[in-house]
Amino acid sequence: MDGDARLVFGRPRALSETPTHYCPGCGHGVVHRLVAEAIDALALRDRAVLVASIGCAYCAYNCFELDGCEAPHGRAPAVATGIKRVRPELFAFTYQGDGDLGAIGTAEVVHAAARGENISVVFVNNAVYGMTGGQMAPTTLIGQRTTSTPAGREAAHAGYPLRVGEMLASLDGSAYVARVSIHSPREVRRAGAAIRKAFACQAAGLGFSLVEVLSTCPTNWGLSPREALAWVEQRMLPSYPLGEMKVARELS
Amino acid sequence: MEPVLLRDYEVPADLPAKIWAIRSSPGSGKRIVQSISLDPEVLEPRNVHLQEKHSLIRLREARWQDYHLDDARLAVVAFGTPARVALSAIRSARSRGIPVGLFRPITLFPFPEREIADLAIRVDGLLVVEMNQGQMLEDVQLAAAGRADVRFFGRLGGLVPTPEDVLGAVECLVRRQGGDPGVPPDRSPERASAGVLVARRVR
Repeated sequence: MDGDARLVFGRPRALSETPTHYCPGCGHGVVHRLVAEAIDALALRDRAVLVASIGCAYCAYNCFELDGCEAPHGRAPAVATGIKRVRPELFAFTYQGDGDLGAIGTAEVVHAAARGENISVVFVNNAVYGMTGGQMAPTTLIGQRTTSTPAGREAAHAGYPLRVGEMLASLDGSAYVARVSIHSPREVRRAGAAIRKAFACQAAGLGFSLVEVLSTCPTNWGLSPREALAWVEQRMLPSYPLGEMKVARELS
Repeated sequence: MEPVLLRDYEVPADLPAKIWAIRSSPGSGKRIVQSISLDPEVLEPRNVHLQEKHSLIRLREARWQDYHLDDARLAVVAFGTPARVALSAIRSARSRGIPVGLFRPITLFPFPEREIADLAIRVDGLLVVEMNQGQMLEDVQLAAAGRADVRFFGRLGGLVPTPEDVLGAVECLVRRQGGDPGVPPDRSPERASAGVLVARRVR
């Protein structure tokens, strides 16, 4: 390297040098990086506490250079609430999948938002239960084949997909709610910006913030990584429209 | 029976350092409060540690109280409300010459299993009285391990057994064991009240 070389791209300091445990083409790696970049950008690394979900992201603690506290399945918002209320100077955020947040933990996240808890939630929605073997989740699309809906999800039998972002944006306690995707470089950049905004929302003490990230699960969708990205765009976006659904006045 | 005592909260001065606490000392390195490990080599010693901790709890923390058991040949085993009722029944039984006492577990976990085992050697029979269909019964059977006749009387649906119910069950047990219950012949030995089986044989 000559003397003029300078580093323009590297590993975020909040991200550990740990080999990934995620499948090829899984979106978690991208979302992890976006979370780490946001923490670095807002200088939150010395006070951030991660509460991860039960599911594929149960090992997220290994991936971040952050303190962390485990929570029972779906209960990450409750644990983060406790951390934030006892130590308000800390930055408490959860990282949850749709099986964790949108099924067993629905009540936890709804009431955390309704209470206006000053915590941040990164909600990774891949429309399926990943770690347990690709069963239908509440977020599974109508017609989507899973191991528990081999003929495709039928509304008459299994109801309709849960739109978590819209639901929580309707509550007075939420300050920032957005849905983003990682199916293209442009959308990845937008997703990073939304996560930074959600984290800034907590840092400014404005209340509950959540970013729903549409993500891929090639293993359980039975697709290649490239096909999975196309599936997000073509199949998920019509059911899960992107955009900011709630932006506190102080943030806009 | 003991009321709830609210003691003044005191933080012991000699607590060990909280080396596990998240974000307690910046720059101390990453700390994760986590119970799971998917590495069997890590998880087994943790499980062994927890087993040892449970053994210690079983050894040290079981609590119970006994009433009139010094000369008893029968013991009622009951906790909570049925224990209060049983104590009244036992006093009535004693006034009729039946040598019966009460063993009242205060903690159900850890269960006072060694004390029940000792009791089963000293008495001829144990009558378990509960407000359910026998949730503590199996613990008593395991502890007694066949050393005494274990029988059960329960009320369901939230109905509280009366002292007369329990006395009837005690008398039934005495009669089955060939003793003299010393009760009037008009008392039904099989049923304390309509539909409720008294002293159902459990083994």
